[in-house]
Amino acid sequence: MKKTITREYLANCIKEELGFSRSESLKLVSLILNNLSNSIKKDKVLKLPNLGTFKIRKKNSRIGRNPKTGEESVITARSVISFNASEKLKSRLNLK
Amino acid sequence: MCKHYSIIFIESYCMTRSELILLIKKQSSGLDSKEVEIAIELFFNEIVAGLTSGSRVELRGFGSFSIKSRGPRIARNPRTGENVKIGSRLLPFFKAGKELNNLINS
Repeated sequence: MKKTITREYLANCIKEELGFSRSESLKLVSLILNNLSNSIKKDKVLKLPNLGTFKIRKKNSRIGRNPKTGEESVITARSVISFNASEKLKSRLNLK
Repeated sequence: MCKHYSIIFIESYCMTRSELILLIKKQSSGLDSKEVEIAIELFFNEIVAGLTSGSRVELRGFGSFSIKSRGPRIARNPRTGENVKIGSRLLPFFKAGKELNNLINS
């Protein structure tokens, strides 16, 4: 079955397991995600067991081109997040 | 004058699950550790279970996980030069959401 896992879905799981209200469960999901986000920003790396590792990588500024108009413009230096899936998750995905 | 250099290796620090539980317990109103622990456990288990069953995971503000399939290819063992067939594989990918991207660039 292919359904999308959303905040709503996770909150529902929490609601059923712990008997919280819908809004409480949603708040808890937000709280978890916010703390994960802040931790990535603070530590530059976040490891989640069974899931994988998030890392912040710095990108230098470069000259890019608008593919539609062909115009050149500077792409500013920025940080991006890279994600490496854990071996466990990768092997579980390819069990069949 | 003697210059003294000390080399300190700062190991990159990474949040542990118990710290996450503690943080959330503090920020929430009146949840006990056990409840927070169960919620976090459930949170990660459901995401992993969803991904392994081929679902997309879309957490607005944080990012989304999707599964992409890599076609079969013929690789080479670098040591022996032998050709090895690698079947098609599934790989999870993550794309950071707008808010997370803004956060790390702010």
